[in-house]
Amino acid sequence: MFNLLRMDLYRLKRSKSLYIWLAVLMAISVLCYWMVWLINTPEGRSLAGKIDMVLTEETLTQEDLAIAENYDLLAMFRETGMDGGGFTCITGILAALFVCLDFHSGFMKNIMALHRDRWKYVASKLITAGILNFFYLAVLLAFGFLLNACFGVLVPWAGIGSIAFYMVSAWILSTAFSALFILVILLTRSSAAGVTAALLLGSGLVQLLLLNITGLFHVTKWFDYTLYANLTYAPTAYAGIGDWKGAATGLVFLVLYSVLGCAVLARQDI
Amino acid sequence: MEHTPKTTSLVIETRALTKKYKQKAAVNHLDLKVQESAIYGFIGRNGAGKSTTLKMLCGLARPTEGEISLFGKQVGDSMTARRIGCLIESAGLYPNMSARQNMLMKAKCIGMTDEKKADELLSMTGLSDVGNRKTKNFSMGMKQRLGIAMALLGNPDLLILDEPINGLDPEGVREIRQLILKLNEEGKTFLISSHILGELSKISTHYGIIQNGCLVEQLEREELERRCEDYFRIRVDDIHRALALIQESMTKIRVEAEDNRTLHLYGLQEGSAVNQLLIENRVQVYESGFHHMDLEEYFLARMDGGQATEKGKESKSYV
Repeated sequence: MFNLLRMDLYRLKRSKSLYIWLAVLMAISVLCYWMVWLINTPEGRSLAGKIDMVLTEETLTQEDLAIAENYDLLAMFRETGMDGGGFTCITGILAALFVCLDFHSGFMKNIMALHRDRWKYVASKLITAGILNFFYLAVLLAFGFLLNACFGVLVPWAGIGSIAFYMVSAWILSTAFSALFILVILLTRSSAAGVTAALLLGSGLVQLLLLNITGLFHVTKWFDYTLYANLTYAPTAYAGIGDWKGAATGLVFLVLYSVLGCAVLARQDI
Repeated sequence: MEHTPKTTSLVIETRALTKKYKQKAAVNHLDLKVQESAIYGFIGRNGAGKSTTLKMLCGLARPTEGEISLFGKQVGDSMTARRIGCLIESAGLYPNMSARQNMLMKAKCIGMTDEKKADELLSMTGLSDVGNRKTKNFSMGMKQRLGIAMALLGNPDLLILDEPINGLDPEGVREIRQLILKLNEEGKTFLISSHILGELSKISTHYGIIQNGCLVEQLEREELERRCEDYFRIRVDDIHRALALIQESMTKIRVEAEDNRTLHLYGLQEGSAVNQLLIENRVQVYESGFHHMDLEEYFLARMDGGQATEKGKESKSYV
């Protein structure tokens, strides 16, 4: 399995999309910080007025200002893509396309001829997805620190405990999402299906639609146990054992999707 | 099955190997035997079950029934898998990576750390000059060469190659043929499927013919040559009289009857004496001439219902 992992990491490092999507996420971070700077600082408001953004104190509601003033570094980090599902959409698309290329290129035959225990393949892809998610989270967080410093400490620094707690939960949940999209690829071998699943499930569109439908029958509790809800509404600071619900949910789904992935691949011919 | 190879040192042995898709058997109770150091030419029409068989041997498809034994061990053993290099259908290549990077990917997959071996194999397959070019820009022939180079990574003892010379130019075909022969001399065993029977006949030491998922024949090169040897084909009005005359006058000639008017005479150097003998004895000769079958002809005859040289089995033989 470690040979497969070495191979995957070698490919991942040489994948342009890894850096392109990271640049996209970083650009979103810059945009978010810039917007908050425009709202939260006198210089920003002045500039907004000059460039006809009509973002003056008169046009901003008290609620807007209150939200902006309550932001800390972690809230900003979540705002840059985590809570809306942007991060999971992007890492999901990456994971789906990464696995799909094995099938489309035919390289899968080279792999499976050597590694006949198919679980090794699934495990190596999941670990690669985990490493990818960790890398993105770490880089984006570090970039958030840098941006905050560059914008003159625009928002207060968050506590290290809160950051660590949130990052662990986010990492587990986003990796579970990746496992789901890998499962979709193993089932369909279609990059279109993988990307569509990443967009619809990663953004929470399907979950929210179902929530609205089941809400008509007052059945909404299930939504609290979805990956999307646990990532989007994850607590920012650790207050008690119950706050690990998100990470626990992520772990359960991660194991479930991994086992299903192994079962699907074991039954298929290459 | 008429001929069964010797059972010593079998690298591949399948017993009643079957693969069904829904209810249709793509491979049906196949008993394949490939000896060590053989170059086994696996022949069959499109859809005969060649690729499915090779996929099962490589662990890419699960047999519905039957057993596969590789190097005397059951398939699935990871150490055995490392002794096999395969190229099935097409070379699986990442299009946005260079040839060398694809080689290194496969090397990492095996667990090799020596990058020099990848360069050596690129050089051996004539790709050292284009090693840094992305494979999406490769021609079909270049991809096949790279596929062969990748199959050779890890120094496997058995190479399973499905249509390895597809898309190669004549020079490339010759190079790959020479490479296969060289590696075979070093002791490597090959199982090769190809539609280019002329090429296959230049290198194969054993043949297996598959039709509708069933192995209809397995034979050694010597056996094939014997069956394809030159013979004098003569078509007459009275086969019994002709046969008696020939057997009386030419005692060293082996004679086989194709049908009730046609005879095959083996071991004959010159045909005019036979014609003269028959005409002088008032046997009417409709046509006569020397004939030699090549693998392609033999294969086609075999596919057409086991005629032609299968006459060794089906037709009467007279010596």
